[in-house]
Amino acid sequence: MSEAEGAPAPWRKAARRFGHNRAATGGLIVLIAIAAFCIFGPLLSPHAYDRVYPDYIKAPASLAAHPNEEEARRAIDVIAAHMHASVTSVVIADGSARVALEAARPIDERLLAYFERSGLFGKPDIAERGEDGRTLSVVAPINHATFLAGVDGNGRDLLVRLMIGGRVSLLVGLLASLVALVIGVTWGASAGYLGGRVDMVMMRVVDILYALPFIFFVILLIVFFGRHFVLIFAAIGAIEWLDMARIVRGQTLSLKRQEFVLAAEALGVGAGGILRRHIVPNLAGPVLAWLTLLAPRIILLESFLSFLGLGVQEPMTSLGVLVSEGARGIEDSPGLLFFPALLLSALLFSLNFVGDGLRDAFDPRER
Amino acid sequence: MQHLIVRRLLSVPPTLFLVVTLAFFLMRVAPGGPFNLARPLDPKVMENLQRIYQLDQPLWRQYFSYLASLLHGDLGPSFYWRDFTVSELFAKALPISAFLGASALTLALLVGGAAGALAAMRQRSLLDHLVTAGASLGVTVPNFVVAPLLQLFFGLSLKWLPVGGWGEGGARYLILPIVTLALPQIAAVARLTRVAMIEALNANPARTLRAYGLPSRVVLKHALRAALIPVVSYIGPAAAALMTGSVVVENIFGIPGVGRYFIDGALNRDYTLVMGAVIVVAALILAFNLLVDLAYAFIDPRVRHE
Repeated sequence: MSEAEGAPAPWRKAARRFGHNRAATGGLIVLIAIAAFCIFGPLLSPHAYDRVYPDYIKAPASLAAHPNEEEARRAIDVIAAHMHASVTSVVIADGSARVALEAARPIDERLLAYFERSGLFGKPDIAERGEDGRTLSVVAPINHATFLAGVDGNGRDLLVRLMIGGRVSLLVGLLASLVALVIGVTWGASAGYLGGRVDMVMMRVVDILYALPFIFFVILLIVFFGRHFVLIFAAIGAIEWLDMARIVRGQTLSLKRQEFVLAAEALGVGAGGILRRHIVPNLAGPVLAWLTLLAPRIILLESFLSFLGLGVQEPMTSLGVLVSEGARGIEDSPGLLFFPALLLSALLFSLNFVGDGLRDAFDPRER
Repeated sequence: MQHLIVRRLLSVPPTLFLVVTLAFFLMRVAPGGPFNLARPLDPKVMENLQRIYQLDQPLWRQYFSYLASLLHGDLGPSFYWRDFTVSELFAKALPISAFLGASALTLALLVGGAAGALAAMRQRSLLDHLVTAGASLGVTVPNFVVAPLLQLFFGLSLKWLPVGGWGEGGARYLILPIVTLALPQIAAVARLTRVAMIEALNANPARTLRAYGLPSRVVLKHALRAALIPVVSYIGPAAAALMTGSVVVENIFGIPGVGRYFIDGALNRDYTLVMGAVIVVAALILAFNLLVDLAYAFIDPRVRHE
């Protein structure tokens, strides 16, 4: 572990132990891969996450390009109907469609715009024109598109929605964990270090908040703040800090009897200084480990809120939204459940492994 | 021991009182009211409704009258389900949720405990790896993914069990919801039991028993007892959460439990219903915390003599 050269010895040891844990390093690699997929994927994707392809609704995942011959023919029939003409022949070859049209009255060539408007074809060229204008032969290039993970019920590419949903879920986990971290560490360390009556009152507050039904609290916060993206995360974090405060308090209680804290006290360092300089840095190990176990819980919670329709709103999405939408239409399009569920489970799985690995690395006794 | 119980029991009413107070005022500070509908009501109608439900009185008077009726065991009328009182709603729905939760919990303790203990006894065996992997999977796969998969497999493909509904509590209707509720708990219990058992089997007491040449059955019995402590402290809060109904599971399987009252109540500003839900949950959490403390004393003689 060369990058940890300058770090203090306990961190270096923990990093080495983490490196020897195969499950944990595997989890870390999967986690980084998922993060890269979600962050950079949408930049590389040919589809926008809110672009609707009405012709491909619920198309299954495949490597083959759309439109296939059948879809192209169906779309041409629709276009012809818009043009008040009927199709006499369609030849699809070399990425373009040659269509012969016939109508009772002369065909208005401006109506050829319907080809482009469908999104499936480019600008059509007129190859042949009948004398009376009642027959028309056009060559239209086909716009190919591939949907590697299929298309959702509203005609949007699932792959890019997975990436966007993954971004949202990762962001939720990160932001809410940070909120929980800041409140929990401040509260727990203060209670533990100050001790006595202050400790009792502060921990009583935690007990009372603990006894409130969790879901009631979340919903109330949503009612207060409205369904705003960032505020929902802050709300989740503001609830999840309770466990953190308890853990940190326990650690602080044992830390404050250590010699270096006594020495600092004897030298006349104030309570705030001791907390900042001596207590909080020593909490980093267990807190970090616990944080990676908290993040999956928060991602699950966001999914749960989205499942109830209280989370992220359309056309934005999160993994939870995608999974619950997929679960609704599981019979006719299992892919819409399979891919989001796979990504969500892989994300949670890897986070759990990394968290377990970190906990073991900082506290080898618990193995 | 008795001292401990009495002290814990005495701390319950003040905590409950603070929870009720906090929830009451939080709910009232939230914008909107039970009768603010999408289409505004006639001012005269609104005024009458406010008077009937005593919402026109100052907040502190509403608070004290609510506390007074609470002392008589009256949770008040529901604002949304106008024909029912909150007590009636809970009397009907709570037993259903509690039964499902208790069954899931029992299943989790039996299956998860056995799996965890077996895995600990044969550490690093195939069984151990299977249990560890299965437990990680169980903890991470959300139940709104598990539920539709179970419905699809057992309900639609094999046609063994009904996809949803309550069916007046028929056993066939109960299996899928209970399994869905139990799976993550089984995983959690198995994980905790395994780690605690490994630690207990390697600790000094178990080593001494083995040194005496006692049969492994006896060693195991003592190790299991020591391993119970972390499991018990996990089960306390988990039990309270399970008994008060899972919103997701009740939603997916169409079960008339209490889970939906939390969300519907808060979104419709059904003040009395929300307060009722808060009180029920808080009471259960406090009760289970007390039970956990008693269980500690029962399992661990050191706690008893403290």
